[in-house]
Amino acid sequence: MIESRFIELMAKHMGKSATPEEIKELEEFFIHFPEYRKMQNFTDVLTTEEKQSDTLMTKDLDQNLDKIWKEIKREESIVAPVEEAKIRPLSFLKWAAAVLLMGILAAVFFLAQKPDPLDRLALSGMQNIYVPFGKIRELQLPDGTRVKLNAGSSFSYPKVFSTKNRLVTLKGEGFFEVARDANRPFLVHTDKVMIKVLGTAFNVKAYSTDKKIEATLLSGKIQVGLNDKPEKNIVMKPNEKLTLINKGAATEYELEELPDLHKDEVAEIAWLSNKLVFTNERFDEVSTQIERRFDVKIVFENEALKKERISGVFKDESLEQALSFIKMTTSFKYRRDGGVIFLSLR
Amino acid sequence: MQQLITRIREDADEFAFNELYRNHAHNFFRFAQSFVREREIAEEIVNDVLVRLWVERSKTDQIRNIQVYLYTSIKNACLNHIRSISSKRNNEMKVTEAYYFHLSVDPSQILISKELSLTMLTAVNDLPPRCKLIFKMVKEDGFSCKEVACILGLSDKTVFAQLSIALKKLHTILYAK
Repeated sequence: MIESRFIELMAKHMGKSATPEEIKELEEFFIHFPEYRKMQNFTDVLTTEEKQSDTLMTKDLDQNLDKIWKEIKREESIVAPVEEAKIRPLSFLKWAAAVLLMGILAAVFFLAQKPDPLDRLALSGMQNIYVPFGKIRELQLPDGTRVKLNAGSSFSYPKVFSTKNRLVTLKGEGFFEVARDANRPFLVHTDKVMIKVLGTAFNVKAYSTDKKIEATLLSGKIQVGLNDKPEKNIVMKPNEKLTLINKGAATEYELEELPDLHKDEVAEIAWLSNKLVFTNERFDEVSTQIERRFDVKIVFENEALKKERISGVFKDESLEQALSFIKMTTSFKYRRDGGVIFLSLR
Repeated sequence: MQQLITRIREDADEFAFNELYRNHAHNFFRFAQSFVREREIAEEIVNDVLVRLWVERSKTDQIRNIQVYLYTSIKNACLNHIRSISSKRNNEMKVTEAYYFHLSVDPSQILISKELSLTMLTAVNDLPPRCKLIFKMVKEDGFSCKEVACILGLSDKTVFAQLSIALKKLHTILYAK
């Protein structure tokens, strides 16, 4: 009798359908019959086995994600999805109507496609790359251009560049060393800006989760166009940094010259050598970079903490080390819960 | 998960989608594998379900419990797949042997002897596949009996009974002497 009641209570407790009274009853069971704790003790440490193939899978997850995004882009490029109709004999008039309708649909499809060159490219062999948090990826494009992509960036380019230009899309941060080809400008398309290049080395930071977009030019010449103001073009010279701040509808921009520094010391491209460099930056901006670098999520439990200013250089430090360095100058405490770091005032 | 879904719906946030995938794909695959044996097919089915989630993200605000919704979609897609490849009409849910349990800590650290815990482990692994699946969903995916019933299309009672069978078996071994 006692047994079956105990099993019932355990099952209810596990299946989250126990009432508060029943939970209390179960606790009393444990007090009166300490033996019964063994059962809970055993089920607590029981887990399903990770097969070897499952752990290897982690690498393939990103491959799977690439496939998924390709499929999504394909689905979204199909304009009016025609409902699958059951095949059934049609009278002549219905056939005629159907042919006409198909003609109209096709016209709508092509008209809708035409104005946007990106969509047409997307239909013909695009390569999509997503760089997971905590990683940096380097690749060479078909024209010889070298691109280094920072954590959390999505990048796509055609397998074969067109004869008129070399168009790529970037959401995130990338360092480009563009192969020279005066006849085919290299175009980097981001959410807010379009960058036109002839042959040069530059860095673009345009994460959709950041408020700011930054372009830093190291050599050569680039032209930056704002997507919402096509008539406005900003020409950048070497060692200049362009910052765009998203303020609701309007985009403000600021062009500044970088101090004459050795290439290794430019904060904007420090990530290339796996360094994080902060010079008097707000804590919340610093935290998004830490999130990408260490693949964690940072939660501020106090708003005030976000406004603290942080300076420092991190290279091979672990996340814990980096946080304890920041703690030396800024008073806060943190606790870690899996992949989430909670920051609060001390 | 709900937070990620909100970001996907309201901001079309691709990062949120990627995060959701990375965090849960593993569990989704294993769950799909309890219906279709082959890993590749399980992955394909899960990927399809997630493509639909993105494409139809605007409708997700009508879903009360996203986790239950996703598991149910995966199960249905698996059953559709099985129906499409088998010649005869087969509406019955067959569960494969996808799960093997093990102890996450050294048996010496639990209150029972090593031999006893091994016997119990064998007992759990010998449970019928469906019973094992239910036990796993409740224990590890954190679903309630009601939610498991909803996902698998069974009655609350059946799920509760299956869970009790699993516990009863463990109990008998523990107190056989």
